[in-house]
Amino acid sequence: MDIDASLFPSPVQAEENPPLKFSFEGEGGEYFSIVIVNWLLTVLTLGFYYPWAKARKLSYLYSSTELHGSRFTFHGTGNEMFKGFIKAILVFIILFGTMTFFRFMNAPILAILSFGLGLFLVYPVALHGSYKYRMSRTSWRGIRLGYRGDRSELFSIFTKGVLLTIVTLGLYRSWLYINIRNYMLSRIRFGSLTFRYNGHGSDYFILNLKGYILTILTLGIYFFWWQKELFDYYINNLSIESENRSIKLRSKASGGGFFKLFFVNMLLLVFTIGLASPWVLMRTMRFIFSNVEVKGNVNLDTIMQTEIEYTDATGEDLSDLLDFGFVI
Amino acid sequence: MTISTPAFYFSGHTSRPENVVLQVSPDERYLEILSEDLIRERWELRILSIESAGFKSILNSRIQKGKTLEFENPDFLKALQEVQNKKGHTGIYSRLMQGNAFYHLLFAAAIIAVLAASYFLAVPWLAERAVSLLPETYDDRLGNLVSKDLLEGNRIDSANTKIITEFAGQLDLGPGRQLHFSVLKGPEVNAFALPDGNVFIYSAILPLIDNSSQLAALIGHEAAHVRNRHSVKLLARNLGGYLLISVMLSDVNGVMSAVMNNANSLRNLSYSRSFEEEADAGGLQMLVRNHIDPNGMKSLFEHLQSEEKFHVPVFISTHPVTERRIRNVDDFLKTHPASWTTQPKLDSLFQLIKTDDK
Repeated sequence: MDIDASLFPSPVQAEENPPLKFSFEGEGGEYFSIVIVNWLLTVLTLGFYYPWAKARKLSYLYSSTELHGSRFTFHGTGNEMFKGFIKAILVFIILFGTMTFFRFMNAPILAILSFGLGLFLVYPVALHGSYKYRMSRTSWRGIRLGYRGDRSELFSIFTKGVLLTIVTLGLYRSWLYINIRNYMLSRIRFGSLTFRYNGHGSDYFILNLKGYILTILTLGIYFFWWQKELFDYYINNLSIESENRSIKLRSKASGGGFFKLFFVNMLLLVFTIGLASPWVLMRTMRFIFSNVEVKGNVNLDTIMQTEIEYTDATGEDLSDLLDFGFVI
Repeated sequence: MTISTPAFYFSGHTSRPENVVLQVSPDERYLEILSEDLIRERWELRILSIESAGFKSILNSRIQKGKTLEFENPDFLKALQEVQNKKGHTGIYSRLMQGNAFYHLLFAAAIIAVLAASYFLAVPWLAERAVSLLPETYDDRLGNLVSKDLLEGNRIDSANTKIITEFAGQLDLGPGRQLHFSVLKGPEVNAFALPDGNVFIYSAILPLIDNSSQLAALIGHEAAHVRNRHSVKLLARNLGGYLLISVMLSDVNGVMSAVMNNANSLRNLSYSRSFEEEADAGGLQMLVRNHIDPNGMKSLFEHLQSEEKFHVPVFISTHPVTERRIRNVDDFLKTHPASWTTQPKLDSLFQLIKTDDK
């Protein structure tokens, strides 16, 4: 029996601007259990358990992430990702099939061209699809996130960027990367709120150039400060907005903090031949979230549900096959 | 006794939290959501999904789209899981997950044991099967990749190549593919066989050989490598081990599979040692079959081993002459009392090489 919720106005005393906080509460021991059980089932099923294993892992990571006292939830399922996986495999079979066909016809140049063009087309499709799926399957307090980007717009940004990258012998890559980031992150909806990412390719290019040169000059020591600057760049340019209010994200990370994180993680991995990797991941996540400060005047208790569900995981699995990490 | 817990309820329309109390219905079929002491909703426990991390738990129901419950109460979580278990609503995964960390360590140990067993038993066996299914033309293609470069990139000692080809022609090397001998000019003390039947002998090894039976032993050893398809077997085992490790361990993490892949290369060194011993045995059998003094194998080894004291010749590093190999030859000589005759034809060919040296 369902009783109408509106019959019970519930008295929650929300402050006008409560302090906001991000944190990661996952524990290495719990995550270790998930990894081991996943491993067992993956071995027993000769690898077919992979999509379900991935769903379990993501689910734990999301449920461990807390914003303003509530956890995120990942609603994606192994079944969805398995279906997506089959479709993604089909795409690759077609790609390789075309290449083999041309090779067989003694046209190696056509073979390479067709494969390159295929990959070129698959990339934006995979990016678009994985964002759409991942966002739609993420919620906080029951409010879904969503990606409202347009595939053809993304495709034109991607095409233009890749062509310019080729013409400039790779120099334009920073701009390509930041343009895609700006476009995609700024089209993420968090219910009635909107994400906004505001980066510029030239800043990113200079940051990396400086990081690269100083890392070499300091025999690697600067590397950790380079990572800090990259982290700052990813976090500080991100904000969440609603009409005339906004939440700004600020990085509190330090180069020393990155050094400690990398150094301890490395020791943990080396001395356990990798068995400590669940703890390493938890440490890293905790480091990331404890170094993000959230400030703003958006009331997180008043977000409205606006996004529809999207359950096609093909893009997610294509991205897996292409092996690019998720950027958010 | 009814256990209950305070919780937050989210309607799926807004992010505004509402205070509710959760309890399990007396018939243990429903989760009851109470607000102000009245039951406001009932969610079927059969289709309730529970996510928990740290101290917090999140509840969703498949048919209550968008609605979410959040609470912080380990005792209530345990009670919920027990009811689901009792009613058989939990899948294999949740049951496996509910065991404590000790069981998960046991799982890990069990998987590692199974992996080790398949690595040490199944992979070599499968590799052997796979090679017997591969046509011999595969060996040709594999060998051609290298032998073409070697023949083009090195100066050939054509006089000695001719003599050794004739020398080998006098020997019954057993059934199998045609062998092709080449002597390469170079300072390396080495000889090796490629799977396509090309046997390469560096000219620097020739002065270290004392008599025709030693040369026959060297040829017999290399011929056995080719006949037994050792290169392809090594490749198959290496690949098989690599595949097993990457498939089974890369899912866990990169460090572990990197460590294991290095262990795999070490393991292959010991495979190649066992192939060396097999080639020695094949060489000895060839000597016996041709009525050549099998002691040639032993004296060849001893000779090369004494050379090792001055510098390590390449032949030793790729075909390490170990005490064990010499002992194996001794054992063979004891258990296979063989008769041999003088080989005037081989001796005279051998003398040609020797005079050529001078």
